[in-house]
Amino acid sequence: MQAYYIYGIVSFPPQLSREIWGHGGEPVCLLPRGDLAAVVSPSPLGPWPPDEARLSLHEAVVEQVMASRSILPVRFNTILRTEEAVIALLDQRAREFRSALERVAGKVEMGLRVLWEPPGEGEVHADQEIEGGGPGTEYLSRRLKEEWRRAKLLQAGERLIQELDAPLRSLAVESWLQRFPTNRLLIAGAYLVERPRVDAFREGVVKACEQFPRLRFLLTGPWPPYHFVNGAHDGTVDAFAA
Amino acid sequence: MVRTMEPWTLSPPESSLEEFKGEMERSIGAVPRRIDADPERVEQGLAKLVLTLIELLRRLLEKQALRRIEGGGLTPEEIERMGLTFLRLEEKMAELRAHFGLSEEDLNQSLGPLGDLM
Repeated sequence: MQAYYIYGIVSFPPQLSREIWGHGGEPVCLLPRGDLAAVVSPSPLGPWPPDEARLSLHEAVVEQVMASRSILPVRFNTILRTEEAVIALLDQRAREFRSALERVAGKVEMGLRVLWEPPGEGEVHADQEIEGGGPGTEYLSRRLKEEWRRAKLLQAGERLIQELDAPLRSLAVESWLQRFPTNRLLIAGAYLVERPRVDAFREGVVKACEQFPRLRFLLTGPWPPYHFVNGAHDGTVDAFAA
Repeated sequence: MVRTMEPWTLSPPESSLEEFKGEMERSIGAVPRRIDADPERVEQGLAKLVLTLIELLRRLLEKQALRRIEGGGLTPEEIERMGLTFLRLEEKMAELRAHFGLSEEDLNQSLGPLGDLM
């Protein structure tokens, strides 16, 4: 049965400016409704296996569209049964899609990850000792020290994050930061940057590299604005789940 | 395949690219996964869930005890008694984990971001 695989949502017009090929070698086209359109390709209803090649293809389609206009990226393997279902989706969520598109218009996402060396055992001193006592007291005393150590470590990390983030945020429109995703990862962040300022943002990161030689930086992008699509991180129900 | 906007990486030395990869894999591992519904391993899956919950409560209670010690409102005898209780509880948890073939890390990972809050 002929269904439609959705890669993203865009404003309409214009039409696509180039030929793009989607899953199964099918041509990607726009299904317009009013001032919105879904970026789709014909597809069987069954899901595509989430392997590296298919995931990259999905991403490549979104990026090719993104080269010339803003796009709301849609989750991999979002497939609707009929053209009417796609149009109905655009109708039902028109207001949200419009405001989401407005939010990311003319902007791209830059990804930043920073590694640090958390201060070691010896560099943090406990403020307070619990005197004497047996094994129970010793146990709690050890726990307390571990906790102080962790608190100081987070404090030191937080200071670094502030210093790092402030200049970068001033080059971006919005930012989304995950603090301490692992012990060694200080931040995993995403910055929404206006297209003309992408180079300035990169220079900002180069400067941060020079300013903090002990940190390691991984900058990627431009990406579709995955972290800045309304609803992406506020726990609202998946638009397409039903 | 054409990638129109080539991702640009601020090239760190190769060695640290590997480090980033490792850390990112760990951070993905920290996201709570579904309960393993494999019939052969359902017991372990359930044990993991239950032990994770107990671990959460244990840590919360321990936190509360530490706050009270910091507040200075406890006598040395009370501290010792509480400490012994937590010590034994921790030992018991280690036994149960061992029984079900789970590591401390397994429970930590199941706690996900909640674990970091504590």
